[in-house]
Amino acid sequence: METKARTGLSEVYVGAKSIICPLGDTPAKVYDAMLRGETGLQQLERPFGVETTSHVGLIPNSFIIEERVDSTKLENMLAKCYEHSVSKLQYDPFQDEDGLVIICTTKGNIDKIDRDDDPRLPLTRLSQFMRQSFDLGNEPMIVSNACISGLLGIITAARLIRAEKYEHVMVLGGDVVSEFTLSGFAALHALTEGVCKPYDKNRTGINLGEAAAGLVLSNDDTLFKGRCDEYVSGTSANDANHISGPSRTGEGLHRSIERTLNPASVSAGQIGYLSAHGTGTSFNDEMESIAFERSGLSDVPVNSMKGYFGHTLGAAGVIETLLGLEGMKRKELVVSLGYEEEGVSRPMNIITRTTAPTSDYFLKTASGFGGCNAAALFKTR
Amino acid sequence: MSLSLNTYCRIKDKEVHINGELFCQFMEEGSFLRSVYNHIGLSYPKFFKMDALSQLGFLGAEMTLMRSELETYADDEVAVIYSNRSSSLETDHAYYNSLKESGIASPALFVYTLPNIEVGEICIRHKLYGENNFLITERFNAAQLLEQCEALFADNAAKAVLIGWTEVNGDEHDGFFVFITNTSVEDLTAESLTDIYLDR
Repeated sequence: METKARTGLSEVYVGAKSIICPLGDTPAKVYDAMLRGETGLQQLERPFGVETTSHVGLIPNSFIIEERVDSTKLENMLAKCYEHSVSKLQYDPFQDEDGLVIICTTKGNIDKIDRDDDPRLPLTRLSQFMRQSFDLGNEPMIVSNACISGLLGIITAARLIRAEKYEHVMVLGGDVVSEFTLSGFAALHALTEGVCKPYDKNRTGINLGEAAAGLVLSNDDTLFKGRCDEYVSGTSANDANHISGPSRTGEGLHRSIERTLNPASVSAGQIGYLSAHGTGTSFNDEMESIAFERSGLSDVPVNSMKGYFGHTLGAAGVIETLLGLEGMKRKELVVSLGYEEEGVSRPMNIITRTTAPTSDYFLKTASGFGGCNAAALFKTR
Repeated sequence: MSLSLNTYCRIKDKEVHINGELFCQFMEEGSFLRSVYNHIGLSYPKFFKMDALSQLGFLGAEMTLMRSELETYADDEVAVIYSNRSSSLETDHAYYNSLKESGIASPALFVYTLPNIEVGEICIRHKLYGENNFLITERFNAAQLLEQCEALFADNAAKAVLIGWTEVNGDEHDGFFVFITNTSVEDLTAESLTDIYLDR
């Protein structure tokens, strides 16, 4: 009740984490591997036929055991996350009218584009698949807003709960690595050689990774069998500057952080941990350092998780939020893998050895093509 | 049929209707979006770099926002929430086919293989720093879009929302754009919005 009295925002709880990524298929396994400094990125000879030395983060087939008829890799990943998340709830509320599933993806089953008119290619297929597989009470919502899709899905879920449209919302994020995305980022000269080095002086670009992840947001903390945390606030903001390059001034990211913290009456100095976007491209990381300084976040312990499993596109906001919450719970924040030498123009408190958060407030940010940015604030209980 | 408190624009079958009235029509093959661009007297060279989806969404925004007293809002008070069925699938195919035919990936095409790029184009044009979202739905889903508006207004995250539906299939364009404010939203129902969408 403390949060409500202070901010006037009604409670939204977040928990029931599920994950499938190159490092593992439970949040605990993945976080343990990250604490050990392992990466799920691997070198492949011409991955998906694309000429690149950039390592990729692929999900082992052994993580996706139950193949449904005619279903794709991504669909099986999403289905498995749905099942994992629901298993952490007292019951499945998504078969009722007051439950909603939000699917966050940039490209869906884009790995099927090489087949002529494959009916699984349109993103709406994911919604049909999930509704049929799990007898969902509502048609799942699909958010496709570039690399902020996952975080925007979480923010959208919380807003719908606060506006009393739904009581429980599951946010699923998912994207796979394919010839399509890999060749595109290669054409943009955005891929790093080897592994990415977010915020480092010698960073040259991103790695692509594939993942699916799930989180449940609810107005009822008794829905969760185990622990849950609090969602406090969140917003998105556009740079109004360029469709494929970040703002030089970090305008949209700065604004989304301000608009997230202000209504919650939380100051930048109260943030105990910042999980940033940190793709490893020259422009993105520099933009973030500027936006964070403008927002007063230069001293907050910060990391990028991209070195552990790559940029997972539409899944990134979900997977990085839930692993950030895992770190807050354990009071062990992982190092920003790949970072060695200061490489952005503004000061940042980049985590270089496992460290504890400095408060219960956790801020997650993301930025993407189309000039979009998002920020969301959480509080551990 | 009208939405008295809201500006809206319908683009379908080579015609543009604004607030229910015929605004322009161009029946020639293949140049509809460019004809609309010329008709509204716009000079914005970036328009010609956009794919058809972005052009459609951009023109719809242009014609709707210029009648919506945009200047009375702060630069972060107007959200843009667009939706469609096919995401960027047409440009996805164009990008992938050109990769397969030439062996060279086109960065200019790849950039447009995300549906929210059209929202980015609109924010750049009108200097909008507010909320964005792009939703994929089987058909124009007025209930979902209204729900989004109400949730944004309840969260004080916007004072107005430009909602849009933009679907492109070759030479066929299906666009619907409505400027919804935090006061006008009460008069809207999913049924009334759907009726106007289906009327053309």
